[in-house]
Amino acid sequence: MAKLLKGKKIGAYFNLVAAVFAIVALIGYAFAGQDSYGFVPMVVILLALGVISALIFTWHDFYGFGPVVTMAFFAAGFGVFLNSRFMYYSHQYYKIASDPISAAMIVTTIGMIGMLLFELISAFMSWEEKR
Amino acid sequence: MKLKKISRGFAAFFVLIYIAMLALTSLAFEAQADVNQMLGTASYKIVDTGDGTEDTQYFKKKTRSIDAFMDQKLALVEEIVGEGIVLLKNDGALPLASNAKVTTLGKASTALVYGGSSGNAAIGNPGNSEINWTLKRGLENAGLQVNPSVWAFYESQGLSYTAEPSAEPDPSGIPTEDEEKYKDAAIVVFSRVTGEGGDAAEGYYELTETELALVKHAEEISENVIVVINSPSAVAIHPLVEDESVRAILQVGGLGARGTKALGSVLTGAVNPSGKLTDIYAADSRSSAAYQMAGTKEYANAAEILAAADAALGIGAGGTKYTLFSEGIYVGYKYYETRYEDSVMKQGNADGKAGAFLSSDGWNYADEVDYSFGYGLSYTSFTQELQDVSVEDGVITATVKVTNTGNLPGKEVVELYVQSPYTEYDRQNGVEKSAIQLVTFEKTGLLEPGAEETLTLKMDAYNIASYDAKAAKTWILEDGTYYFAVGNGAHEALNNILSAKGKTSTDGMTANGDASLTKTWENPAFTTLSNPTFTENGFTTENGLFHNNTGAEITNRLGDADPNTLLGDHTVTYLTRSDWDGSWSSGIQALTANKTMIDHITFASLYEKGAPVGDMYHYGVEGSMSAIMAMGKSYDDPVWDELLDQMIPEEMIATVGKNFGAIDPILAISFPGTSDNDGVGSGPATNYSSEYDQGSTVFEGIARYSTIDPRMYPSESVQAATFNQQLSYRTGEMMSEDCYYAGLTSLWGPGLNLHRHPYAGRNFEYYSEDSMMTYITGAQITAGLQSNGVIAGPKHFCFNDQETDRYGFAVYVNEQATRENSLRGFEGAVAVAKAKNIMTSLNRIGPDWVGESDELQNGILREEWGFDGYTITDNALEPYMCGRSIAYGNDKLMLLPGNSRSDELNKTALLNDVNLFSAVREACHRILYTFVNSKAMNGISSSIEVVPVNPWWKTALIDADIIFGCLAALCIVGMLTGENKLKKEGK
Repeated sequence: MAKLLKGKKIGAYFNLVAAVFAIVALIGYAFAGQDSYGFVPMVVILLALGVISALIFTWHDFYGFGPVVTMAFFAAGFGVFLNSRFMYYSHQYYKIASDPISAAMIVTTIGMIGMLLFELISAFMSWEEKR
Repeated sequence: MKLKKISRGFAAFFVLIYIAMLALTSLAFEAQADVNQMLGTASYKIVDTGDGTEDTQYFKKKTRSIDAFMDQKLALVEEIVGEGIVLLKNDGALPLASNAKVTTLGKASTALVYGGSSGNAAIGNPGNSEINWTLKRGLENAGLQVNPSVWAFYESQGLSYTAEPSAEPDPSGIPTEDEEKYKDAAIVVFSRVTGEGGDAAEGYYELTETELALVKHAEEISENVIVVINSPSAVAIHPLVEDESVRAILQVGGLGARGTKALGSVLTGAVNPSGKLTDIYAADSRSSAAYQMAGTKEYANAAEILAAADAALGIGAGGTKYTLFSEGIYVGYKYYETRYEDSVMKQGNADGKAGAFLSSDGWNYADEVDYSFGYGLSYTSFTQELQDVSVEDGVITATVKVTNTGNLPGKEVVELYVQSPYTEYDRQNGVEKSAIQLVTFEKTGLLEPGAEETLTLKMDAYNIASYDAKAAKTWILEDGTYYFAVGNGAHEALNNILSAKGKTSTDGMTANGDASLTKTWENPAFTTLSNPTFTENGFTTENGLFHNNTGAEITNRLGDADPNTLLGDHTVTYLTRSDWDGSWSSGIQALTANKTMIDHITFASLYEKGAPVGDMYHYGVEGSMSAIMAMGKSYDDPVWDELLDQMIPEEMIATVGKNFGAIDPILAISFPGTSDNDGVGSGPATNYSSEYDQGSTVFEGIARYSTIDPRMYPSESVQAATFNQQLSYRTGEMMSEDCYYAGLTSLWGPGLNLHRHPYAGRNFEYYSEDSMMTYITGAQITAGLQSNGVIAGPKHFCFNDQETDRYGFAVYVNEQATRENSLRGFEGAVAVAKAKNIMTSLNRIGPDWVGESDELQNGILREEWGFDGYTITDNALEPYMCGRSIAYGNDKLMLLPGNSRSDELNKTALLNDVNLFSAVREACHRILYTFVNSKAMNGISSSIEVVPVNPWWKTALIDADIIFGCLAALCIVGMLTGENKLKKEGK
């Protein structure tokens, strides 16, 4: 890890925090997805690709595309998640959900928001000494 | 460097926005009909190829402007609440002087319950005091002056109307500086509220210690303590009934927009209270027979059921659970009053200890009940004279003269009850008889002191028959003596009958009855009503409510809902009046589902796929038929086949398996589509159309009607408490008019489930614990709603009498209870008022989900009751509410955006399964038959074509997708440019 972070600037650290949030979201979703609103494998695939992308670009930010590519995966994962969970939030808002608000869904939601927020912040910062 | 960093940041930002926009676009396009409904747009336009002179407004609004309509609507809301407030106790405290200075107490005084707490039936415009008047405004409007410091104290608490009773502020903190000035009366308001998705916790309907302390505090402020119970469900108020210092008690459910205005009028006597209780007020809220089985129990072999479940379909969140209606027919007052009669008659172990909550030595009515069903006081007094009762040609006719013997004008309700003979035949065959049962009711006009009015009450004798599931397997009217009686509530009527039988208070009656208010009818012979013919039939506003003839045989259909059929005799015990003590429920038993039940619970063995469609049916046929050509045609007219032949499979699927609250336009037959939504109780759950956005003259400070939510009506229990059939019909008419301004074709309501006990979460959406009250009021509202081209969709068919585990839990019940209680309200709406739409429920009947119950949807609903409309599921959130349900009589799935049944409802599957294809085609037939004869066809003529267009939001979304995509690309280019620049600079 020390080698990976050698010569890195604050943006890369924010990117890694985003990746950690994505992992939190993945773990949360593994539990939350067992409720009656269902589990969509594509969410996991896209978030996992986002995490891999975050790690690769942390190692080396090829052409400065790190945040763009990583954000594309995270945003797509979030989009699929939201599409499949639209009803969950709607039902909770109207208090008509068939499943109660679960800790897993709170964790997943926080993970998703944190992931997007930190990745966005990281995009406005330098990731490497050379750039 | 700077350019690259900024470009990179914005590139990531725009990629995020771009993908979010794509997701939103996909969601919106999938649910375009729902989006159109929300935004008041359309995905089609009408092209008239004729000369445009044809009047295509088949149904027209009745009001000249939305302001005029709103004035009428608010006046109606006020009228309903004015007639729906029930005066339970009055020791001279009411009415108040019109300029009295009063102190209002209780957290609910500033946070009233206007409707339910959640779901589409909740009140609209929450927190908008211009629309939903506060208590203060209502009282001041009536001339009362309200203690400002105490009002400010409660306001400063910032409590929501949903706050738990435990949040009631400690009375010691209430400011005292204005008490002396505002002591003409202390008005204490207690509320209870529940909503969709859950039932109340045990004890919720008991008064808390703090609430009782507040009453004591009120007694220190004023000699006139008035308690207002603001709750759609009955609250246990026994301590207040006993407390002589509490001089008046009023009960009212969810108040609706202008309910406090009516409350002020009632408190000051401008309106004389005439409401009656729709639920019995028991001394302990947990003492009813039904409550002993509240909630659900898990099957003993739940793990086995889960293992057998089809992973794709699931079984629903509550699929391994069930409840048992062990009370049988004895819901609400039918339990308390029947047990009371038996205790007086010394039969059936009625005074045993089982079921005794507040009785000290064996069950005793006086200790267990405070106010009976149908009870309510007035500021004046009335006498009733039961002049005649006859049963001829299958119709009961009663004539009652009402005289105002008091000093104030007022309205009075006549409640007609019956007691059927409980015979040896009943005991042998397990037929239960309630000792008292509501037959029908009517209300007088405003009677001046000394004035009188003679009312004629009519009802089908079929409605006093009993369902014999064991021997006759149909409805029976036994030979013997039938007692008809009137009274201020079911208990007084029963006392009148007991008096006619020679009983007095020395026999254990709570009071002596009046035998002159009872008439008897001797039925000479045992009669079965397996194929009844109704001489007067159908609904008319002039003549009343009568069953339509269908010619169908009525026989057992729901035996599989009874564990004694499924698992063997004596598996469960239902409450019987032949042994109250021995049959009293001690809680839900853990049933073990057998193989057949598991197959049904898991949908394993129900559906048989058919052969490919081939040339058995036509579809996508080029033709010139349009939907309007079928208007007014009978259901069997050949025109329907021609229309259905023109539909392509995608259109068929969209009609039955897409959208939440709308049906897409069907271009092949120029059908314009529909806009449908909830409308139970409080009103249409959508905003008024922006088409009416001229400045409102009705609401101060509200310029645009499209910002106003039409949900302003009081809860259904208030409507029922009026005991005014004509008022209910007018409410239906008003809601119909609402639909014109809100742009709706159909309204999913009224709610016709029962208040099995106070704790059910959606009691505010239902009328009463009584099935005949539900039958009558539901039929009147439905008839009014459908009087002008709007479609009514009574719900939730059926047994949705609790919210716990509602997605998939099973209801086990015997057939007599289903027929006489749970189904009765729906029977009124369908067989009498001819409702055109029915919303099915989320639960199961026995092991089968209601939407897959052929016996319920085809057998009872369509054959026995003659239903010729279409059914729609409740929110088909869970996969068990599956596409194949259409083969069992379901017609449409209610699907939210992002939720589809494309696994079963897709073109390939449809064309490879003729059973499903024919079912979907028939469902389309029913849906079209319903809407082609509704206001959906306004603006459509035979010279008109429906052609697709892009509404503005589609264009806007596509434009936004392009713009954000370009911006993301631009930033990426900026990044690359920056990168090149860095390279050139050698950095």
